[in-house]
Amino acid sequence: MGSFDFLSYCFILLFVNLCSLQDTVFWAKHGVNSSVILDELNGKLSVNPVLFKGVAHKLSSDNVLAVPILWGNPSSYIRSVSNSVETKTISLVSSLQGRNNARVIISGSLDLFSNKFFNYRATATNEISGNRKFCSAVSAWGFRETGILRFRNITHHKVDGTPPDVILHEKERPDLPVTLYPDPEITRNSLVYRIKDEIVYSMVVEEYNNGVWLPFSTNDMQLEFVMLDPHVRKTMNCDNNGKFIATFVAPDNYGIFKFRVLYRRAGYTVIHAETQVSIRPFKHNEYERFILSAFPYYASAFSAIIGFFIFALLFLFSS
Amino acid sequence: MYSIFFEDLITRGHNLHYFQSDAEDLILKRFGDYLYDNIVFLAPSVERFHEISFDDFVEFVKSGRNLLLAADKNMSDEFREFVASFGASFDRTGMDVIDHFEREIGADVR
Repeated sequence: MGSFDFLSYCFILLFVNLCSLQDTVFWAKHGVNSSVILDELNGKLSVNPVLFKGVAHKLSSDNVLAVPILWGNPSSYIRSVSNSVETKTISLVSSLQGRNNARVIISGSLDLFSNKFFNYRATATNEISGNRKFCSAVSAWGFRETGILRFRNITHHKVDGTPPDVILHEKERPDLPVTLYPDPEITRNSLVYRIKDEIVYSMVVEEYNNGVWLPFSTNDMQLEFVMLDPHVRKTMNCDNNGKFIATFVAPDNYGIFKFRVLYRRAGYTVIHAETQVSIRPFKHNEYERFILSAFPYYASAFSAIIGFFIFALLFLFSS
Repeated sequence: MYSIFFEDLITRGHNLHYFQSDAEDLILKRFGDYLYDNIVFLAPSVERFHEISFDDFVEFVKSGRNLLLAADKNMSDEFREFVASFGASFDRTGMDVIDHFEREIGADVR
């Protein structure tokens, strides 16, 4: 860019002006790779492109909630000599899903939705434009008809099926007077596991599609077992009925943990499920009965006993 | 002009109410409850409304409802700021996107 001088700038400007500046209507062939947002057009935009005429916008790079849906071809540019814009950072149609799962679709073209563009046949291939399918898929996503997830039936128990212990039951104290200062805030009815227990967590996730809730299946939903930081992170296995199961061994740290499933993917609503349990250390009678590293001490105690016995025999019965 | 798009929405089960931007009965909330679940905003050159403002649309989205909006070259400055509150920035001077290679040369779309 250092050798870019005024003369070549004028030349390029002249070249641009000689090309038809009326090429503002074009076929957009690059879109997001998501079948939730684009439905049947996913991956087919190069054969069934979308006719576009309008302006482009830029999404700020720290905006994690926004997903571009349709962006410019490598050969498209914005007619401006003050900014240099690449086609990947600008988008023609983009979507935003807030943390409250509200969806906003921002389109740079009003004509994208018009009847003329819906019915238009390309002059090169005489195929109808993909605008109608694109608009119905994107508006179905935007108005929360697709891409909604929900979860239910969170269960957790030990591998052999026994449920966790319950401690700190609610206790009625009818002999005490009614007080304005009740018991300190303890989590009543805490569910307690023990360290080194094998725990199974399961959850059913469903997806809303055209009016019905169907089971959702994916390979990348993770369960985290968290006490300030995740101690265990396990990818859940999915069977075909939308049931996700993970099995893991409780870590050696004890305290108050929570099972956390936080699933955020482009195009889907957020799944955030947290269930709190406690992990307790071993009770005094739950340790192993004979510890391998204590065998020298067992050996020393028993050898002292046997030695004493043999010595006593020798002392008493030898003349 | 957008009748096919609206018909598709109706066949998918939405109930549509149409308003011009200067309609006097265009309100989003009545007695604290929102009247609509989704909004399709196809008027980028509008500068002000009678009873509501652009902030009301932002509150609409904050309440969990959805919005579809379309811009074009002649959008007003108020609309540009409104879209910027969602994180998408359109440049100051209205500029088209041009593509010389994938262009559509049919006469009736120019």
